[in-house]
Amino acid sequence: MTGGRAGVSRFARSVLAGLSLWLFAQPALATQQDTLARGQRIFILANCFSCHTDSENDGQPLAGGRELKTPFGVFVTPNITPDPSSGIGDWTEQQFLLALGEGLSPTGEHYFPSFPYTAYQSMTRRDMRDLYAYLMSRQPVVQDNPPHRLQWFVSRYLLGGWKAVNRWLNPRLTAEQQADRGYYLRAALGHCQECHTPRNMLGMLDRERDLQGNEMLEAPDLTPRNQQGIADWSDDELEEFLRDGLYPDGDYVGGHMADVVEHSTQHWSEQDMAALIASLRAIP
Amino acid sequence: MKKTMLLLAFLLIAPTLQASEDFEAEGIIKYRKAVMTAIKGHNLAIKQVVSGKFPNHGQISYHVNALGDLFSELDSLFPDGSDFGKTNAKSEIWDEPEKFSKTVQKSRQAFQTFKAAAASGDLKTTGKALKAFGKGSCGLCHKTYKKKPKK
Repeated sequence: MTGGRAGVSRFARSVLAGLSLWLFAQPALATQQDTLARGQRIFILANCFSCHTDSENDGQPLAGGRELKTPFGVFVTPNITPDPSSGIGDWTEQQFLLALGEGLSPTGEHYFPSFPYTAYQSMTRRDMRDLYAYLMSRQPVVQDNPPHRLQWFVSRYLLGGWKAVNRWLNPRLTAEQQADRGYYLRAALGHCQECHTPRNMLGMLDRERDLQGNEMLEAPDLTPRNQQGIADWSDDELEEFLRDGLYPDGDYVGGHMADVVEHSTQHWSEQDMAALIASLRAIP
Repeated sequence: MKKTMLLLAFLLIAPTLQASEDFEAEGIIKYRKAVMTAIKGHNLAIKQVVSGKFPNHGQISYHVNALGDLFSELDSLFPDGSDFGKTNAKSEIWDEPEKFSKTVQKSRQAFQTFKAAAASGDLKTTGKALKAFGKGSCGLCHKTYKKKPKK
């Protein structure tokens, strides 16, 4: 009888301990889920998928291998799945932040700006950390990174100087600019200027002509200077384009912008879409 | 002497032959662009009806049928030799014809799905299906095979 009571008491204590642990773990679990959900939103807003997935050849999500053809050569995007050998699985959060914020690899190598750290450097620390958590929660894929095929004059060793000059010409967003949601979406996460702003001979953005189009990339002028461009569209037409890829005349978008619509803008929240449109309308 | 005469005759005719081929390609490209313009026109017309901006719902079937006719000739719009000049069509169409053919096939399937939805007569269903059709047909093809976005 006594043994029985002791058994029940032991059982009750175990249940209580388990319950307490479960209750204590709830806020941590909720925080983790919140981080992952925020990270997923950042992932979509920054459109990581379309460059880091070789969709044209049915590549695995985020395993890289997509070729970006530029006047400086062909850049092949890397594997950003959490595979430790070929992806970013063995990166610490700090190393990830360094890659986004400074364009540096964990071994200290400079990244080519085909990876738009020039825009991502203006992301908030929290957005970077949430994105890291989300990427680390993805399915790892073992897929080695093929080398870039670059023009003879393009060298990684020159990038340190390039970055210093570029940082001077294109500084990080200020805290005030980061707080302007539409501007932050356009210039940091959405990195619109990377395609829509003309570049100088060294491949740096010409911010004096911000978003005035890049002929080499066939990206149109988004400013009111372009009378046939978005300045002539209603807000509804602009949203329809960003959600469905539909032009006001019934045509559908092609090229890289089709990827942007498919993997990014069509999934944006109403608030973010409205903020982006307002910001696009504010371009001088 | 005979051979020389034949060679001379060929050299005289050859540029004409080339010019005639160019002319043919130019005609095909213009025709292709006209068909694409027609497709987007019907697309836009349906959109106006389903979004409630044009009251005659009966016009939907007219535009759907016209789209069906236009979609049936998609394959013949990209013959060999029509890959240069004033065209926005990417060379991948001719470099990887099987892959392109599969994309055209998917476009047609997307149209059939849309056609079935439009036959329901329900504007909301048709409007939703129109978006999916646009993305899954025109959008799908343009993503890989259309060179230049609009200015």
